[in-house]
Amino acid sequence: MTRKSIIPKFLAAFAVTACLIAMSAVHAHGIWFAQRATQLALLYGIGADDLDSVKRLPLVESIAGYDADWKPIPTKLRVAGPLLLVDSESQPTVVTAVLFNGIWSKTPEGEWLKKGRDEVPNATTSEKNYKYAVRIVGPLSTPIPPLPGQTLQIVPVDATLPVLMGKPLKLRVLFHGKPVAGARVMWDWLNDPDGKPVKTAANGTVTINVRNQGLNVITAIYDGPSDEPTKATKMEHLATLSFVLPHAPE
Amino acid sequence: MKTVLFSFAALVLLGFAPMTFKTAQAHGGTQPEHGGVVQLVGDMTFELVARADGVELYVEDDGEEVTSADLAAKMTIVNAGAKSDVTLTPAAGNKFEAKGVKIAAGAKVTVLLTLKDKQSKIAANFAIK
Repeated sequence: MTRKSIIPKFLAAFAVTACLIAMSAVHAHGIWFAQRATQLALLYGIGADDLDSVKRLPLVESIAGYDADWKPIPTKLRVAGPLLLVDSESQPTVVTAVLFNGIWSKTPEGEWLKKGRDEVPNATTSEKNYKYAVRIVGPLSTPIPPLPGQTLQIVPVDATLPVLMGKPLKLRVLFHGKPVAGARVMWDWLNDPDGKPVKTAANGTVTINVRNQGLNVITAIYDGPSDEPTKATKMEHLATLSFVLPHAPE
Repeated sequence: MKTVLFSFAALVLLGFAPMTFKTAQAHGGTQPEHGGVVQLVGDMTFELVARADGVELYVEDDGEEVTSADLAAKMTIVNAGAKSDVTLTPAAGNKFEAKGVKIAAGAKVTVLLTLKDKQSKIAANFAIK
């Protein structure tokens, strides 16, 4: 084997490894809200993988609805066939959810186990996973404030969303209610899950172009310190913000 | 001759295509039938009529009238910061009513319709001019 032939192979292997590392960093699953058969559903997955949300209902720590003045509206989830549907007493302006996805550790062989590092001593990484979701249902009267339970939250800086896809939308990512730098934001979690994330600036903001004239699911991922260092080296927070740009009148 | 026949068939198909497209796009009427304001939400058409002596709501599903007795409806009225919830009473046919309720110009109204399964809900937002 010549030296020349080794170098391209080494570079290819390096590129694949780097790609896999980058992918594992962003390829966490998330929760988001979307319409299913006219009703609002809480979904779990990534990209086009709309996975089994019903079996994850026990992991849902909270579901909440708020009116335009940010007063809570009684809201719950109900199982309807393979879906988790949102049931509110009156029409909410915003709906939120939190799901605790447990502690996961990665073995040196690359396998993910649902155990802490105390049970997987040779783990290369151990993380505690929280998923958050905010859905804008109705028109906003004021910008979305930090909402209860949303440790990581994406908020549009203004109360007015663009009308058309392709237009810029300035977002702010909050961690414990404060703007956070370095959160990785992806503009279209459903249709471009492998896209390159954009990091938030020092003031927590990032500007994206709205991707879809329809459902938009924007994601932010942020690694925070572990609150159980014996079990997890970090906490991965994954937040979605979903909203719809209406289509033209029929 | 073959060419002529083929061209004729293509023209006929092209003539039908826009008609088919139009049918596929339209779910229900968008024109008021009772002098009110219409909102189309998916398949459902809501017509809200603000009269001097009360409010009426008419509902259609995919262009067909839906019997109001099988449904439940309530509306939230927000006017100048004041918010009130009103339950609408099923009336004849696809009509709901709330007698004595007045909606002022400038108010925002959200109608929440509970469907026949008693669980599924569909909302429509109105801005009253």
